[in-house]
Amino acid sequence: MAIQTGIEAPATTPRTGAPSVLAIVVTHGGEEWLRRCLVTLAAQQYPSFSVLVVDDASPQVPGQGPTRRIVKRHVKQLQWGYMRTPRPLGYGGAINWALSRVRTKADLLLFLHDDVWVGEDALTEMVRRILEDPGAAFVGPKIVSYEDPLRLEEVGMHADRFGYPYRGLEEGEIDLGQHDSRREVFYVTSTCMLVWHKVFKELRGWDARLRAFAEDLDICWRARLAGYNVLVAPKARIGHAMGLATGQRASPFKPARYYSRRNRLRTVFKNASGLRLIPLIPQFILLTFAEMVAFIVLRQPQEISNLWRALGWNFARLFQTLSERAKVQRGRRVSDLKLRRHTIRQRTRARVYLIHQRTRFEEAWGRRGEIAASRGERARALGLSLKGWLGFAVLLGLLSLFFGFRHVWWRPPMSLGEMLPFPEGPFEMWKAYLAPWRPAGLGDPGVGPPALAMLGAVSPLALGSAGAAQKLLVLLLGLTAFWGAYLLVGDFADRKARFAAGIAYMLGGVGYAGLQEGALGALILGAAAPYVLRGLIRLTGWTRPPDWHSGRAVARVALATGISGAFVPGSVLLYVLVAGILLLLRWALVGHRPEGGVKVLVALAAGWALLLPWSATWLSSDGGPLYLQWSTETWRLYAGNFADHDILTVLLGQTPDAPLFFGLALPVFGVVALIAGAGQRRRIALGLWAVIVVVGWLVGATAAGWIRPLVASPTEAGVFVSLAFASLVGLAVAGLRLDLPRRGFGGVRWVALLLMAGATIAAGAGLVPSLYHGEWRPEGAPERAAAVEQIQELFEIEAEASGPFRVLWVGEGWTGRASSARPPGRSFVTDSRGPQLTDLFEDPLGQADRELRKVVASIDSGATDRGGALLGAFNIRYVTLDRGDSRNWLVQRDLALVRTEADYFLFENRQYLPRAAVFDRLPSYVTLLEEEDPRFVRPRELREALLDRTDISRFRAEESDPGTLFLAESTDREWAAQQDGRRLARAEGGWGNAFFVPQEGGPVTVAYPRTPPQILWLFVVALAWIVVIGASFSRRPERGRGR
Amino acid sequence: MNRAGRERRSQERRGPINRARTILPTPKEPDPGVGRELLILVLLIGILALGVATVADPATPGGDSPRAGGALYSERAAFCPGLPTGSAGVSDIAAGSRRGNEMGVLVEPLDASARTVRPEEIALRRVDAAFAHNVVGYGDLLGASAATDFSQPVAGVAAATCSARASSEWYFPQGSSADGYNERLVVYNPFPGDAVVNVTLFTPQGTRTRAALTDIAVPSQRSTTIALNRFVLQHPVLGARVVAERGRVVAWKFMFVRPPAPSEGVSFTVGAADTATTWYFAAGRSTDGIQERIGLINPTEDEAVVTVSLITEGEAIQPPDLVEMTLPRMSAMDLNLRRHLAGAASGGIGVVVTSVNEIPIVAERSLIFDGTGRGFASYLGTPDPAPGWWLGPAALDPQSDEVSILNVSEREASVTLRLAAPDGASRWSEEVVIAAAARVDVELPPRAATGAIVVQADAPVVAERLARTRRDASLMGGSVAPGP
Repeated sequence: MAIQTGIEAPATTPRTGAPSVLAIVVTHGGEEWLRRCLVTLAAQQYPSFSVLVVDDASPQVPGQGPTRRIVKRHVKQLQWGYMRTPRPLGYGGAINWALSRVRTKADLLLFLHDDVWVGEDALTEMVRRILEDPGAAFVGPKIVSYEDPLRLEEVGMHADRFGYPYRGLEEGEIDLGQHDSRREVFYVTSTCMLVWHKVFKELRGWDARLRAFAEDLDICWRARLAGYNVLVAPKARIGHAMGLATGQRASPFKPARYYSRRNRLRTVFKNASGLRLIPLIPQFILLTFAEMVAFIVLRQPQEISNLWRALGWNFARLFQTLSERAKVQRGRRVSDLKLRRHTIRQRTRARVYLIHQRTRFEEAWGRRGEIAASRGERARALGLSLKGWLGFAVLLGLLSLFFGFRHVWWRPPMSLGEMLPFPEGPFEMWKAYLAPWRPAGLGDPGVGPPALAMLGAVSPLALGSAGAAQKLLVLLLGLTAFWGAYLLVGDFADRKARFAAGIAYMLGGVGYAGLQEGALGALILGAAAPYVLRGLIRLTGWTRPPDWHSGRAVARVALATGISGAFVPGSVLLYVLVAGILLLLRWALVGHRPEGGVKVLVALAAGWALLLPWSATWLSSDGGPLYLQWSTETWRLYAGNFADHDILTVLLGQTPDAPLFFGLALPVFGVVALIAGAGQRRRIALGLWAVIVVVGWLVGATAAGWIRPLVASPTEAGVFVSLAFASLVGLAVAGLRLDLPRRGFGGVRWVALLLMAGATIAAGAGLVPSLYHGEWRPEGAPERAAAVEQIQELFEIEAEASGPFRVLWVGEGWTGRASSARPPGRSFVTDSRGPQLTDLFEDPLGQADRELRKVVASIDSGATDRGGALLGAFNIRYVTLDRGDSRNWLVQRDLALVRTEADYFLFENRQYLPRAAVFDRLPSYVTLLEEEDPRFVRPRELREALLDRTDISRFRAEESDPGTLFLAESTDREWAAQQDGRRLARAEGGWGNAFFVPQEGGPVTVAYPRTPPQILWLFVVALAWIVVIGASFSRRPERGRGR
Repeated sequence: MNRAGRERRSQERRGPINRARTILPTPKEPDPGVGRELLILVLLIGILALGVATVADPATPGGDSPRAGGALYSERAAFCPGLPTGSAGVSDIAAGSRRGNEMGVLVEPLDASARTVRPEEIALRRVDAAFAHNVVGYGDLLGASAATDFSQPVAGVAAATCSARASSEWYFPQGSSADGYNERLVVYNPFPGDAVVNVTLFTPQGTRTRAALTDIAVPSQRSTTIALNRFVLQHPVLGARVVAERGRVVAWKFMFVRPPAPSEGVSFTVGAADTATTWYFAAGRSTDGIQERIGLINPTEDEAVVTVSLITEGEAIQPPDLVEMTLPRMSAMDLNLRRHLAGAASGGIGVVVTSVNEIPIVAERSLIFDGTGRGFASYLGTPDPAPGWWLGPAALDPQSDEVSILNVSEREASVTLRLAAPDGASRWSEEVVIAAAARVDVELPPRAATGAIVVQADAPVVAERLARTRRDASLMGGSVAPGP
């Protein structure tokens, strides 16, 4: 290793009474500022100091002399030295490296950046300051702007508990001496700091592993733990150019975010006390995740990987950090509590963060002025284009939409099939998703399906209002679908044609049938599918705009696939099918070898992977949604949904169900698109027709029972049909406006015009009456919705008074059709909140569910009239019965009929077992359910203690007599009970969970634990989503600007 | 406006987004020409045509739920009436398997545990007639009936099937508040939670409501008697409807008849829980000394058009004046078949009442023995013919006992009648063949008097049991049982 020094002897000066100072200037590509730095340093009047310049392996710039020459020229009147590191070591590493190679007897060390100028007598002031306070170890100067010495940059630094720096200065603050009273600070930056040599040695120098960023925080923090003070000498002024921060020079340690985050975490990990560290590290990691989300908003997804790398780096060097920490903590003389006065509160830090982020947000999305100007221009353009009849038509259309969807907007939340009310409260959906135990039905182990987490994003937007959330969801889905169809034909058609496609899709069969059937999955698939299809069209090479980027397209397809797959798992298979059609057809039309297939597969696989671990259970025999659709036991229940559908209904626009004439008009539009369009428009029209034909085959084959259903209902299968028809509407309009005038043969023109006019009239004839009658609503609504609302109110009151219970909902009026998220069945179970979105994807094939189904079947068939006792064993307190076929329910001797309404009965079961209680013995009906013979039994259970639910997965009683604790949740060995801290032995509990309570004693708890792998999965999945969302919406590189 | 102005205005209309978006084909893509496109189009049309040609029947749905976890639970009760207040008598409850299998039977509140009843056996229990009883069957389909020997207010016999149903609506088409008729409704609430019922009366002129007949409380596990004569003036034709505004109940009608009515006797029948468009009666009579009357009510808001057809052992008779009779909305009607037959047939007759315009109605038939023998019997018809029937004892000590079977199918029916006796030992069975749309009466031996008759046919039939004692007659239908 070659060491170049200007002096052979260690850089020290003889003592003159004042402590000797060795100024160490670290430079890296800073020739631009180094001269002024050295000149001002040489001009210091301090009697006893020398200079050592450490060149941290600056890159050699052609045509520029070596740094050594610059040094020699400007400090030759002083004792000086020059050293060059063999490779970039970072600021602290370079100093450590230099001091290990020179011998110095200097009392004080002055560390300096190269992009500074040193004010007159700054060194003298700093030395005076450090001598004034015997406990001081570090002294920093007042740092001002390099160009404008009146502007303050730093007067010492503070930090929050996470090590985030805080200057305490306004942006561009003028120095009027207002901060000169500040004396003691948490740390001073490495820009310029004076330190006792002996203290520096005691602290074992800089942490060389940090390379760059936060090394000053680390060393000052260590000094503080060792009992030293860190001071500011306000009379000492240093000008700082901040060459690195302002991008005026390159750094070998990039990206800055990575180094700053990783070093900060290491610093906190080393220096914070053990007690403080326990909450701090998880908080730090959570904060990092929050920052990742913020970077998506700021359109800087690449920063996410930096944060992830920072975490990974620390994880990989955990043991080394622990070793360093042990050394630091061994020398600790001051508690963290005493240091608190130097750390800032989180509120202050958050305020600064938000101010800072606002600026970055504007940078990411454009300045407010630009945004306003852009919006103004758009509004003006829109206003101009909407004058006259078009404006009237748009206004009429909007009013019609509000009128046609009136049952959605102005009625209680819908409750049919998958279209269930949101829970009250902004975060209930997420709580349900994150809970280790799912209370839906008879209970299932968590983590919940990702659909819950996605829907959870709507509740906060609606401020936690359940009614508003559902309406907002429908509105968002409608607009997303409109915009998706609008964009889908955007590469082929002009604005009017895109508008036509958007309207045709939004008012088409998916929304119509989806709302009537309560098929939320189909609606979400309908909203996501246009974006997937657009991505597939582009990935398979049908069209690629100039700013197209394959990575972004893959990410967007993955994102939309993940969203739709979370509700309709079979949609992933549909996407594969459609991609195959597009690839094959393009090959057949153009003759090129199919391209993009691998990217398509990667995108779809990534979409599937986003839903892990839930998506890994799709084919699980424990009620996986695809397993249900394909298993011998249940596939016919799904195939039955397709009974009235086949290729003809698809072709005639009646799959999914749509207003009759509107549906019939769609294929006519499709024909017009073929005969009026030209070139690429005609080819894509052919491709869309191919999609319609193949999906039609699929629907027909499913209805005939030739194949197992790919998706659960014709509405879900028909999403691509509806989308293809809507796109054909757009292409027909575009063909008529853009292609037909150019082609000029009369016959075709007139035929196309006539067909277009006929189709438009038919579409209007279909839509107008449907809008007038408000047919966009679930069947039976709004009466059914009002009924559910009333019932739920009753249940809530009862639950508050008597603890949690379950409700059985029987009849098609409640269940709707089988769908991906609602398994087939004549009945379903909810808790006392009634049917809510948290009940989606309930497992219908668990042993407990089979037992319950047997009870329901026994009642339905009239075999038993002891329904109350049998259902009561499942904690079912109420039965809400559709009046359709109620004969055998009405004879149930132990169910009280408490409400008789026009379309439903409400029964109360007074024999229900509580959700969790200690009994003298296992309740009889639980045992008898197990033995499949309830005869001759008169249950007389003696209850010893009732356990209150303290959490979704935790129950507790303050005390209990001996007996058997029965928990009415489906059997799972993970449930664990304790009394006085002692674990209770499990007992045979039938369909539920039972534990022996051996003695009278203190608190009894039963809980379902959250396992570390679950938590890890949640983090990994959250990260994956963050990365994919970030990649989908990454900022486009602006043209004409270099990267 | 000059050209530049038009262009500027056009650009303003398009706006910045539209200007920014350009429709671009994939770069360097060769034009495939129309030939390939036509080929693809033809291929698509071909696939489409093939798909249309092979449209198949939909898959057979496999039920509406995934499989349950094993055999069904079997425990079912039948509700037997207590006597109305002001009456007295003794009751026997008979219960057994409608399939002829072994099963457990328990009579609440008498029994502490169930008794096992063997195949071809019934449980016969003498009970306190003042109270309603629940007969609970375990392990098989239960058939149960109650036969009562009344001593007050009129001496006579009557029997009825114990209802396995509960409903919020019950209909009684045939009644009367005329002199000599004492009609009482017994409403039983065997369920938890109190019930509240309203009674509406039907006359040929329309409905009659009374404040005292509304909001009648029926406490849980209790019966309430409603004596209709106390609330209405004399109406020779008086139908009734009981509607539970809250809860659900079982309702029976007791009719005590004595002069000046044409005969003397007692009848009771469980009400009809549903309306229907067709009602069948098997055990009718068209002989001197017996009046057969059909009572009808139309509880709907639409006028019903009703035809009454008669079936003898050999032929079907359609009296012309019983064709397409108008039954106004919310009204009752009473038909005396003796008047319409006028000697056209003699012996047993079956009756079919049909609402030809599909307006649902309810029909009941009564037999008034006003000749040498005295007696009064009535029973509701059934709207649902079935291949199997379980008929409990119709009287405690009958002089004659017979089962009437009406074949309502369009083919000949082979019918087997078997006895299930309380001792389980008495054996009796008989096989008969009934022509399509014909009926037959089968005389039962004396040892069958206390036993149940299990009827099994290979076609849908209707079976009823008619017994006569010295003082009275008793007529009852049965519980539907599975066929052979």
